Formats: sequence, C-alpha cells, structure tokens
Amino acid sequence: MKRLGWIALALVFSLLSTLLVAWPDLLELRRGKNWNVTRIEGASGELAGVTVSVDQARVMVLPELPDRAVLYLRMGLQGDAQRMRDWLACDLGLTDDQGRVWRPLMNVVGLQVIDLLGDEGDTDNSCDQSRILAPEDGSPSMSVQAFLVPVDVLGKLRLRISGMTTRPDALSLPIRPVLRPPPE
Amino acid sequence: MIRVAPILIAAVSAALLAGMMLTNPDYNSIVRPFETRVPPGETGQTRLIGGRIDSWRSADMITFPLYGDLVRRETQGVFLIVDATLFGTTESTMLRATWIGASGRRYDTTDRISGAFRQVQDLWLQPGLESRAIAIFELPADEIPQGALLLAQRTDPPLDGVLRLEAPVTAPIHVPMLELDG
Repeated sequence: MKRLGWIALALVFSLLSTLLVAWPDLLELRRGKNWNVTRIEGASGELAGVTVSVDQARVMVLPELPDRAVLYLRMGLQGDAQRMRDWLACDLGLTDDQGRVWRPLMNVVGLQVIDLLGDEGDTDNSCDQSRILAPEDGSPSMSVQAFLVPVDVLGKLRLRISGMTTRPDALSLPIRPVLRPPPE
Repeated sequence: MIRVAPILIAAVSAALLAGMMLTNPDYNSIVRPFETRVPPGETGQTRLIGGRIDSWRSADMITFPLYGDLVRRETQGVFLIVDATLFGTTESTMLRATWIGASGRRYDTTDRISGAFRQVQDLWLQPGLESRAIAIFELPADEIPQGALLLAQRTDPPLDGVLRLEAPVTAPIHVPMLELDG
C-alpha cells in the first residue's frame, strides 16, 4: 500500500511538472488564435471596449477572371484611444462558413483596388494605423482594406477582427458588399 | 541477490535516461515542418498550400521588361523556370519556393529577375482560387534532374506543412534565351 502511495505521488509530480513546463506554451496557444468569436448580425459590435463597424463594402468581379472578385472594405474603430492602442495589433480577415480566411492584400494590387472602389478623399489608413491615429473628437477612426475572394463566397463573407491582446476573444460581423461594374 | 536487483534496476534506468538525453533532438528538429511529397505530375496539398508542376524549362539567358527597358540576365549556371498551378486552401498565404537539387543542395528563387510577371514569391495564394505562377532558379545544370520544388509559407513554418513537388519525368526544354512578360 505504501509503495502504491509513492507511485501515485510520483505520477502526480510528473503531471505537475509537465503542466508547469507546458504552461507558457498553453498561454501562448490561448493568445495565438481566435478561440472565442462573438457573432454579431448588425453592422457594428464591441470588442474589448472598442466599437468596430463596417462602413462600406464594395465588390467588383474581374472581367478577365470571372471566378474571382476584388472587395473593398471601409471599417471604423471607435472608443477610448488608449484602449485602441492597447490592442497592439489588428488581426483581421474575411471568413466564410467553412472557416476559410482571406487576409487583406498588402501590396500594390491592394492599393489599386482601394483606388478603384474607394471614395474621393478616402483615408489611406490600414486597421493598425487607424488604431493608433484615432481622431481626437472621438469619431470613428476609419481604415480601408482590399481583398481578393472567390465569387461564390460573396454572399457568405463575414469580417472577423481581433487585437493581439484581445485574443482569444474576437468579433465577427456580416459583410454585405455592393456590386460595382468594372471600368469601361 | 536481493540487493543486486534494485542496483541493476537503477543502473538500467540511468542508462536508459542517459540514452534518452543523448538522443534528445534539438528544438529546430522538433518543430520542423511536415513535408508532403507529391509524385511527378500529380497535385498535392498541405494545410495552406496546394499545387502541381505544369511544365519546366531551362535557359541560358532571360530577358524581361523593367521600367520601360528590356533587361537581359545571364547566369554562370543555368536558369530553371518551373511553371506551376497553385491554390490556397484555408487561409491567404505568401509563399517561398526552393529547388532541392539532385545533390540535396537547396536553391532559393533568384532575385535577379524581379519585375517579371507571376513569380511565386510575389504571389498571394487565396483560398478557393487557382493561380498560375513561375519559380525561377539559378543553379548548376546537373542539379535539375531528380530535383524537387519545395513550397512553404514565406515565414518559417514550424510544425506546419510544406509541399514537395517532385520534378517531371521528362527533361526540361532548353532554350538559349527566354523572354518573360513584365
């Protein structure tokens, strides 16, 4: 009986030491992904004290490649400036019902899409820039993003957004893009 | 005899532990990406990347347009141009292509042809969309047969998948000069 007790104690210490070694990695894993996504059906929602809103979504099907479309998204972040800075970094993408993720185009093509589908005098800010450069009057800090997506997912897309420090919490908002004709 | 048994158990345990410690792989070995090998001509996919080799060519010289001029590049070895069809699977992904030569040496795509159209390192794979891309390497001619194209995420992918597309069975068509679009 005494031996069994020692064996049980050894097993307990073994498990504890494993947990102790794995603890930082478990924390990192928890912070590394959007495990807890809150789905909102309206155009805005709140995440960690910051209101996220979808202002405009426009889409254009490429005439030469009719299976794909470019999508322009203007969104706003509104809230306490310090809270927005506390996010440290934006993590955003468009998701569909299969869990696929389309990230913003961070290249020349992305800038061309924003020029093509955006408005005169549009901001050039990305999500991260809008997070840091919030207007002092408390109005939403706007940013613009461009995406390349398959045409068949256009009706199913949602914006999923989180900050580096808000994860595992994230917010998911529906996107209802307006179709724009290609330029003549 | 009663005292010998525990000593023997302790010695064997110590030897086993020492053996485990000596053969313990380092961190980089533990988190190496998983390689998916794809036979010639077939399509394969990993968690993020899918694709196949469509054709391949080699050339002694490449010309391509850059800022309105026609740029000509020569090489001390040979240019290998691999044409591939690639597709994203679950998440937008930027790629890095490497040629694994017959000797096992690894060659990154050349930077000297930057400006030519559709190069794999400029491509942003999107889920659900196929894209045609080319990967250009500069390497000795004897590294081409029995080589393989390795496609991975642009950033280091620990414990993620990399796609190894084996070279086509037929030899690449060789041309003295190849013109690429800009």
